[in-house]
Amino acid sequence: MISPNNQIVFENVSKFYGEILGVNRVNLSLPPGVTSLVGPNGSGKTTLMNLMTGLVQPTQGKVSVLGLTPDQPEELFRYIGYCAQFDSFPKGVTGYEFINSFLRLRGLSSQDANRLTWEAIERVGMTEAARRKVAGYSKGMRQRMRLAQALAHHPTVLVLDEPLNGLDPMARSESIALFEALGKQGMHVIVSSHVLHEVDKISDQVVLMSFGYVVAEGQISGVRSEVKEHPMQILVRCSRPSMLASRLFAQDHVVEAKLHTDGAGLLVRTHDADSFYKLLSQIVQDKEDDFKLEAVAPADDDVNSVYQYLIGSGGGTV
Amino acid sequence: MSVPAQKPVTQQAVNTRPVQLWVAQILAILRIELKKNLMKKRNIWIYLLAFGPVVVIALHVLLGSSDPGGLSEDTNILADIFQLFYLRLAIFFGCMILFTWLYRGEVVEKSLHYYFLAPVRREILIIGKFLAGAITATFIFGLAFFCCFGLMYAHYGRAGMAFVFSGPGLGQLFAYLGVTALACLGYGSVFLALSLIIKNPILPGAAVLLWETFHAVLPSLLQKFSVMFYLKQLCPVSLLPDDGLSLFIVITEPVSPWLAVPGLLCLCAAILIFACFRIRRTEISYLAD
Amino acid sequence: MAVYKRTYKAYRGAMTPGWSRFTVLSRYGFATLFDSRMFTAFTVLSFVPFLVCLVFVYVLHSATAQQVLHAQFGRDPNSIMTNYWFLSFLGVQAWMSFILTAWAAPGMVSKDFANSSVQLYLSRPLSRAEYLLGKVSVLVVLLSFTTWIPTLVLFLLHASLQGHGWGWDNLWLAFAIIVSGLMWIALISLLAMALSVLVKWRIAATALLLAIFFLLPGFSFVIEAILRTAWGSLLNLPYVVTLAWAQMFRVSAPQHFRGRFGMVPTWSAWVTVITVCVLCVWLLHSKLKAREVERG
Ligand SMILES: Nc1ncnc2c1ncn2[C@@H]1O[C@H](COP(=O)(O)OP(=O)(O)OP(=O)(O)O)[C@@H](O)[C@H]1O
Ligand SMILES: [Mg+2]
Repeated sequence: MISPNNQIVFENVSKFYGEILGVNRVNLSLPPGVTSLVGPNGSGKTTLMNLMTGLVQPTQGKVSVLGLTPDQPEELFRYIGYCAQFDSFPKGVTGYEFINSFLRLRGLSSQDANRLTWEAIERVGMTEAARRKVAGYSKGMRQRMRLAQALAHHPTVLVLDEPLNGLDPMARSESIALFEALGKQGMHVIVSSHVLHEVDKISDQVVLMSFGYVVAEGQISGVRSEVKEHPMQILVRCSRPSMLASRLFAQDHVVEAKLHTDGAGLLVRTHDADSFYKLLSQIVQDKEDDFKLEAVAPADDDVNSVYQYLIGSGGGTV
Repeated sequence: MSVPAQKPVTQQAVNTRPVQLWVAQILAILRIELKKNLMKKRNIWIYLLAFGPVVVIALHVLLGSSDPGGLSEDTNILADIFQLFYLRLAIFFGCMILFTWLYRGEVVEKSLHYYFLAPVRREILIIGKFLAGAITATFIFGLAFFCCFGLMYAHYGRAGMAFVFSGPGLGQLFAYLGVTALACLGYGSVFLALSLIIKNPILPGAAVLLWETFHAVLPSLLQKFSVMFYLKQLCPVSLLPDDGLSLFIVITEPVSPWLAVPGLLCLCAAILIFACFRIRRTEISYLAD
Repeated sequence: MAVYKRTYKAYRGAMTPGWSRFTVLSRYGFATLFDSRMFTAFTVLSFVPFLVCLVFVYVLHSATAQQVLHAQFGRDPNSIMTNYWFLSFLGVQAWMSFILTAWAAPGMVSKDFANSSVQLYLSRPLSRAEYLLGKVSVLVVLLSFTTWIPTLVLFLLHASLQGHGWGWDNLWLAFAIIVSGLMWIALISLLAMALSVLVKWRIAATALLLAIFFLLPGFSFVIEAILRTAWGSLLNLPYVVTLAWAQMFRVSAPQHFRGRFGMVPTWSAWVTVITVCVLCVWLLHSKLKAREVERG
């Protein structure tokens, strides 16, 4: 596979931490623009970002960023800025020193480093606090400072792990506007988040992750329809499953209803979970039916449940 | 947060010649690390370790007599202190604290990734950190021993001056300082490499201490893998034979300084090369230790 | 009615008595220690000398066993089982227990400090002293079982095999064993705790503990050599402890203890040990406070 030089490419990448799965068989090719990595805790977002930036090495497969691999740090990291998840700083530095010292490490002269440092600090609105020790910053201030450090050297690929964490609403919307603007300029901006609708407005593409797998990727509308088309399985345990089945078949959103072998359960596949739940509650309320419901549970852990989780009740407005 | 237009990637005024870039980067690492090493509160222990004997000698100067007959005795005592305290214990422990912290500290403080994300070869990082550690250690212990030496002989006034400037004194001082620097390099490389492999360097550290103390009883090939083996041959004044600890200072197989110094430097380089290989495969994982 | 009011009910069941609350900490302390297989193995290893000596004492008193083993100790067992013999055994066990302490102690407290969980403990009905008691009791029990208890068992075994009131005549020896062991335990466990509270990092605390036992002797040598005095050896804790033990066991101090400048008097050894313990307690008392401001 030829990797075009302006893309971030994952080729069949897996990462295991000993026995624990980080990410599994990821094939991705991210064009410039804003990309959101969305998934619940432990789904592998950070792992994917660390793989991109060479902080961890893939157990299998290959990662390349703009045609470069992490084996070429001198080249690659000129283009990458990564604001990691760790809320930590070198000990005893001020905000200014923190950014400046790592710019000097890049081989910049002291004037250049100074100029870029102040530019980055201004950009995140931290000018007043820049001379104070980082140890005395609030969480949001630390977050901004780390963002400034990732931005300071004008990277083309900006990787941000949960950059909105701990920011107040003002800073949040400012950051989102900043990411959008950077994406518009043709940069790669990769942002991770737990909540899809926090970032979907500015995202050019979305990668949904769950349990180490990329469950959906592409343009936001594509992801939505992919999720919509995929019917959802629900397991119902109740006293009269065959009665329930017959009632269900009258509905056109139900694709399939399978009786469980023990005669006390029903597996339903539906396109529209909400209507299904509505119907179910009607049946339960109907006293004449003598219908006893024991349990209802989604029977699959795939896209739908993840998606439901990620977008929460806001999913209806998609 | 303002949103000025982000210029397309600035190719930044980066030097084109790699060697030049490497030097600039090493200097930048030195700037960061030296400040940390010399100023860090935790390193108070190293200062205490190094300057403890200076305080004792200062007391001796204040309290003791200065009859010139004590001069040769004090020369021997100085040799004792250098070999038995500085070389075997203080520099050893000092390097252990300093060099282990160089890498492990970044992991404990969760700041290693900032280095790994800079366009710096990880080998350069190791070399830069090693140099910073070596400079710090040499500076602290060299200065401390220099103070010991100075106080010891200044106390004898004229006779001391004569011993230092027209006698063997100055040569001895340079030899001591040279050995100090070599010891810092040698132990430093060992501990830097150890800290890359093992989380808790105490156990291997204790093993190294035993190895260095009892290397004289090992087969001669193995002896060459010990830092003390080279160092003790370079010390200008040999110890009093009746000393209880001199058992561990016996020289079984003398090597000329022309071999001992390069030998030690080679050992140190080999360990560093190993460390460089190691760091290339290192991943960021800040799990609790 | 709010949901939480309906579902939340304060616990009204029986409670353990307040004085024994600290044992919860001890229990968890032991559990974490013996989670490590290496540590368990070493603890078992530290009982090996004891078992060997147990067999030895038995064989010493049993003519049959000596015949079977073709061993000839011949002489009176009492000429072998002297106070010096017991002191040597206690010495070996003491070093074993030192390694155990260096291994176990720093992790117990410094982790609580590093992860700011001291606050969590102290916000329970648990005082500072009880917190410490919980932690120290783990060490005290562990070290007792590796130092004075095995020595005392050997003493009792020998006394019972010897008969004729040997045990009564040598009761001072049993007393010496217990006091020496407890003195050692108090010294090293307090020191280990205080150091780990001081530096709050396990590895550094271990290093510091080792440094105090192995590096300070080097420094004491420097003091002795330069100031031409024997008083420097007060910094040498192993030396000081051995002196005190020698007095307890009524043996003379080892020959090489008499350096170029003589030997420090024994009372100063005791004073040193007690001073170190008091210092450690003071340090623990002043450092062990719930800190108000915590930053990540
Ligand atoms: N250093 C590590 N050692 C062992 N397992 C790890 C390590 N880092 C991550 N993992 C595991 O890999 C999986 C993915 O973790 P990752 O940090 O990538 O999740 P995430 O999506 O970033 O979660 P979060 O939203 O909580 O940040 C998790 O199961 C995690 O336990
Ligand atoms: Mg994460």
